[in-house]
Amino acid sequence: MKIVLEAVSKSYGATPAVRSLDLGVESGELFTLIGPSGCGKTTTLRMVAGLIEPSAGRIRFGEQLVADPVAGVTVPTERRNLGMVFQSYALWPHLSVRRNCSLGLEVRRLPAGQARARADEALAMVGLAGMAERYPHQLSGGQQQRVALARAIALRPQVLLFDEPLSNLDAALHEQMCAEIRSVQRRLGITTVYVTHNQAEAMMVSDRIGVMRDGRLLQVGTPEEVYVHPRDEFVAAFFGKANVLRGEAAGGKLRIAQRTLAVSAPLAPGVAALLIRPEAVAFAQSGENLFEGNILHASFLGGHVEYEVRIEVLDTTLRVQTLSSEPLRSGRASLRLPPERLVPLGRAD
Amino acid sequence: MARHVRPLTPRGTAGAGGLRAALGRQGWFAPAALVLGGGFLFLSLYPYARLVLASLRDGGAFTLAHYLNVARHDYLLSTPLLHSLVVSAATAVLSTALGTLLAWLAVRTDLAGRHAMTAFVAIPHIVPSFQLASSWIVLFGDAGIVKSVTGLTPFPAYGVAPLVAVQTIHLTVFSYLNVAGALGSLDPSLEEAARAGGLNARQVLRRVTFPLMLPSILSGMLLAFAYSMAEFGAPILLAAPAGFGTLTTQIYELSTAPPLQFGEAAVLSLLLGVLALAVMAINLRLLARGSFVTVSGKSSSGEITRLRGLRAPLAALAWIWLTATALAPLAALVLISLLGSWGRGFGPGNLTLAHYSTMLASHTLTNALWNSLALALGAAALAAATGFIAAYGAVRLKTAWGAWLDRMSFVNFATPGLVVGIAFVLAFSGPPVNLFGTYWILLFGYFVRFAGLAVRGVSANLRQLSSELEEAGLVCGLGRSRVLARITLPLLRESLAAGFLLVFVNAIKEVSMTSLVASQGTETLAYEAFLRYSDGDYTVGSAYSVLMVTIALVGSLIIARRSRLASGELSS
Repeated sequence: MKIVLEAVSKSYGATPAVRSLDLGVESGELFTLIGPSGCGKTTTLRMVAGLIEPSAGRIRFGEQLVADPVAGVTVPTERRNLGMVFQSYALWPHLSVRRNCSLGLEVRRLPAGQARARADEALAMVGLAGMAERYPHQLSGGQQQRVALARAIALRPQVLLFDEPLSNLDAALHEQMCAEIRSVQRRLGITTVYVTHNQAEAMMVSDRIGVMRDGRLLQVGTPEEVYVHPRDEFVAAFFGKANVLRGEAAGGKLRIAQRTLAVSAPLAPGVAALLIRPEAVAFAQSGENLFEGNILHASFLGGHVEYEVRIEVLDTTLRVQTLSSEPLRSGRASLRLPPERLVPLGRAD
Repeated sequence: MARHVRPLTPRGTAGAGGLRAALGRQGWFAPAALVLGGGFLFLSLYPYARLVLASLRDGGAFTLAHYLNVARHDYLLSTPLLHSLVVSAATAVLSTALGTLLAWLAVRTDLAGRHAMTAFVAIPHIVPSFQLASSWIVLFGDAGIVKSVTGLTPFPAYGVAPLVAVQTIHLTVFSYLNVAGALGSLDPSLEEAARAGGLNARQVLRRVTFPLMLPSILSGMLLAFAYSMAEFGAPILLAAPAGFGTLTTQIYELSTAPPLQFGEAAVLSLLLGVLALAVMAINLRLLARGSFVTVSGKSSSGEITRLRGLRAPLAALAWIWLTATALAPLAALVLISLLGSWGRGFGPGNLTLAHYSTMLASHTLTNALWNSLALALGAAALAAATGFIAAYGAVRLKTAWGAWLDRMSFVNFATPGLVVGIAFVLAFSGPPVNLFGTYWILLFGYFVRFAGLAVRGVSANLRQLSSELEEAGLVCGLGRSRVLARITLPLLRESLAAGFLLVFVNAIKEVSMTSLVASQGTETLAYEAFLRYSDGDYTVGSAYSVLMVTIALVGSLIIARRSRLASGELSS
């Protein structure tokens, strides 16, 4: 089922939190809202859940209007048929793991046996088959996270919502749970909105990502699109490390100081900024866009090595990434900036 | 998908989202909030309004005569006020010094038996002060236990010094708990940093620990001062017979002994109420301005000082004091209740269970016992329900009425019981609302006076509960009253039970308000005991008191065990 937000806004007094947001989440898709804190992503998610009412705009679940303040329509949270995983997990400490999963089914007047079976089924799906009798405080953080997921899917909801679900887990568990959430969501095919501020997490779990800032949606795309073709410097810096070169564009080339850079992508004339990712810069002796520089610093990061290289003629310091299987470099070096890897950026607002 | 989809049914309301909207729509919450909250506010505000009116009226006409009269006569104003201030200041300083020292010994030294100290400091506070005063008299009076056994009179029976001593013993618990709590949760790295910076243990104590404890110490002192100003039972039994009147005894006299002067009593009550509230307000501000104590989450509780050579003498002193103050009053109480008659010595010939059998056979006892239990249980139930309504309104729904309930319940609790009593007498002993002589005036009195105990605990509990727990209920389809019934209330059950028990225990012990609003037929155990003591009938009074103190101690024990259980659950 599709989720559609049309010109949705939310303001608290005079302070706008979300400004006229348009968004369509496709049926069965996992859509991630990402951005720095205060960008409006959690507010947007809570409006989809019905925990906050929009100040203006419309929200639809499929054909059904669930929120439209102008028309006075509000479908309350408990009737939206949702599953939601909260940042704090919000497991009810006074109920067993099984009752946590089945309470929502009990109040839907499902026979007790069926509710129990559905809860156990959901728990088995997240790998907690033997834990149903325990209480939340007897579980580890990762297990609590799984219970929260099981509770959300036990209801067989038409929409799944995640509010920074993994921010309390350590690095190893974090990655494992990312994969788990992804596979459970795929298997059930439930339309999902996911909120996080962690770009690695967003890239792992998402079909598409929407980048938010100051209550606006800056860019929507697949993980690859937002990484490779970020709309502006803000998006570029949000996903991974970015080298940004500024200059004057003319005749399809970029002029910086006294030098020019060849660029494959079409460039509009005038002041322009180009992105090149650290792994796209190469140590090379020949080719286009070749520049000499001094290696200021090298960091060994396991699988790869990161250099900071000062290039005087471009008046810039570039980050360069190589595989750590290559020999470690120092002193002077020659760098190539491949024209096809230079990505023109729009101006950040 | 969509195997179990319920139809989405929109509703034509556009209020706030989430919990606020869910509760606004329907269910039992709104009517309950209206009845309990509205009732509580009326029962609080109307009596205070009548108190102010009474101070300004003579017959039907407005007048400032009562104020002028009070200002003109030393015996009405300056003498009792000065007495109250002196006694309260002395009590506050002594109990703070003692409480701070004991807390330090209990938390930060290797004193023997330090873990058992809290119970011994708490018992003299659980025993009502009028009972401590009575125990003092039967211990040190002319016909008292000490004199008849040893022939000595080490302390006077009546006067200022006994009053200060009894109140200090009764109120030491405030400083003790404040400082012990602060010492226990002080981030140990603050002291470790000072040690690393070259300060020795004594310098750390003086330059780092003590200054950090200062807000907690001051707060304990202010609490003891405010309670001491409000004390009624101890001064009327210990100091009034020696001709030493305080504000409270003066108010009592003006409103119970002919010629009745309710106008002047109202003026003094307002003064006492304002003083008590001012001290409590200063205390709140002091605590809000930031204590430096942080909960670090580490279990290490700072450095334990080795007392070395002082260990044995300090332990002896501390434990003699603790045992004497905790157990001697109780022992005296039980012994006196077994005496055939007061003044005939303590030999076996004078020991009897006669008072108990007379008491058990008498209608007065069963009446007082049932009155006490029914009134305390009723007030506790009303208070717990109001505590939930007020806490939910203030903390979760962030409504103005919730905040007002919260504030009003605190004001009522901080107001001396005698002042609430006067206000209730003025408000409810004649048209338009005449409750005098009924149980209702006592029930409402205990409810109004002690609801703050429940409100405070439930609010604190609710503040710790993430609202996501309730939102998760909405998301799961529970909605409205079901979230309250199946999630919120079960999660608050510990603090609701604790609030219920606290109100119950305090209502069982209450005498200062009761002594003004109880009447023939509605006497409670505590009031019966107090009446007997006032008449000098210690033996029969003690029999009533034994029952009352037993109920209070058992109730307090249950509270202590439950709270330990609850904190144990959290830390596991």
